[in-house]
Amino acid sequence: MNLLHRKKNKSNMQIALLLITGLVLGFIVIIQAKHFTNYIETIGRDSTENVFRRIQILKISNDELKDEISSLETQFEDLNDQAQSFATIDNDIKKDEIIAGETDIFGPGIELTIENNLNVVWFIDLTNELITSGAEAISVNNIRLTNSTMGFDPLPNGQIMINGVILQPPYTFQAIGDKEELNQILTNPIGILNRMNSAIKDFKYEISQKDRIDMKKV
Amino acid sequence: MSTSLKIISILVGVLVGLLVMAQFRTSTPLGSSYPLDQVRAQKELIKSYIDDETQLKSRIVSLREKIDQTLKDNKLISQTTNLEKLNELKKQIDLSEIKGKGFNINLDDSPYIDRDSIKPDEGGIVYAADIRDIINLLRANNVEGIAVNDQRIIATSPITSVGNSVLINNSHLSPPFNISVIGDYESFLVRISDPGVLTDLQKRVNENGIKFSIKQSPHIILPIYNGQFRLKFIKRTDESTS
Repeated sequence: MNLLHRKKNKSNMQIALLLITGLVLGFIVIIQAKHFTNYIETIGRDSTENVFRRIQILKISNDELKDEISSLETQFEDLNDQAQSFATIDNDIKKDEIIAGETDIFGPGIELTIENNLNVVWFIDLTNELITSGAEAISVNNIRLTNSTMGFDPLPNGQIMINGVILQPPYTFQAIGDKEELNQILTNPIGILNRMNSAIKDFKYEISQKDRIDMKKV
Repeated sequence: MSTSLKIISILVGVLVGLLVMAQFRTSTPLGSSYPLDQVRAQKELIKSYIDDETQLKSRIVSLREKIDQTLKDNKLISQTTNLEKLNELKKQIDLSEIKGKGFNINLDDSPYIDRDSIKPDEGGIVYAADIRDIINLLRANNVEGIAVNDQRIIATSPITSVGNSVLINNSHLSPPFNISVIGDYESFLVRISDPGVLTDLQKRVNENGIKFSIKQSPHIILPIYNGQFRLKFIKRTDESTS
């Protein structure tokens, strides 16, 4: 009887020891996992991809600003030369007419056609994405977006109006610029088209690179 | 003690030993100098680009002013060329400062948020998308001009978020965001009171503490656009030879 009692006590002690070991083990596993999480968060807080994208945007932008400075310096020098000044002003007017949308234009680019009905935020984000990707001129269903174009106006019935015109699907976005780069940025795995594909049911689109896209004046 | 219990105890002991060893051998974040150095280097690189950009933009504004002054001073040019047309175009493309009646929209992160240490989907911070939506609504309301923290907004102004930062005209902007507008205040107030517009932002103002206010002002001054215009691929149809 006594021997049976001692055996039972020993077995209980072993179970208690195993329980304590298990607890210590669990504690260590949690601490270890937490260390790894902290380690990843320290590096990934401002993710590498975002930092590189930010650096890339800033670098491209600064290069473009330098080009603009160079062009303005030439313009300034030419204005001080009587013979050159008339041609300079003429060129300036022609350039500003393009930006203001006062003349017909053309150039290489991309054409994106979306068959689904779209919420206003997709119009805003798509045009912004095209601008960020280097588009020089954009049109939506043949309406060219310039400083004089009004914003995308969401109507109470869910339709979108721009410049007094109600947009109907299929929506055709055209952009003049580096067609390969525009295509690549829009279609990359974290690009806007993939985000739209995840967010919109039965999302249907077609994108094509064009050697020539024509846009009428506003 | 049964054999199976002994084996289990040994295995548990070995596992504990391994984990203890791994625990002591894992570097803590602060002890890992390489990633932190890399992050520091990236931040310094970004800062140097932003400093360069500020100087370049200031140079652009200065050159545009000089050109403008030269055109005004040269009588022969002003008498024989279409300066009026040029000046009108410059107004249209926001290459001139404008003044007028309007309003200021103030947009700021929730006071309980630290922008540098938040998750990307935090509801209490102002995102580039919020600013894009407001600007689109302003344009839909046919306002005359817009600037955000002195960055003049043109049709091709990129407004993006990179991480938790906002870039407008590729300039790095920090909250609070002051959106200065020349346009009809009353008409915009009516528009913004529609519960169907800016729904996400309105929800986050109510639930996450984002600060949003509008104040009318009789004297709004919008600066000249200080960025570049991209015209590398565009051609005028009337100059086309093909």
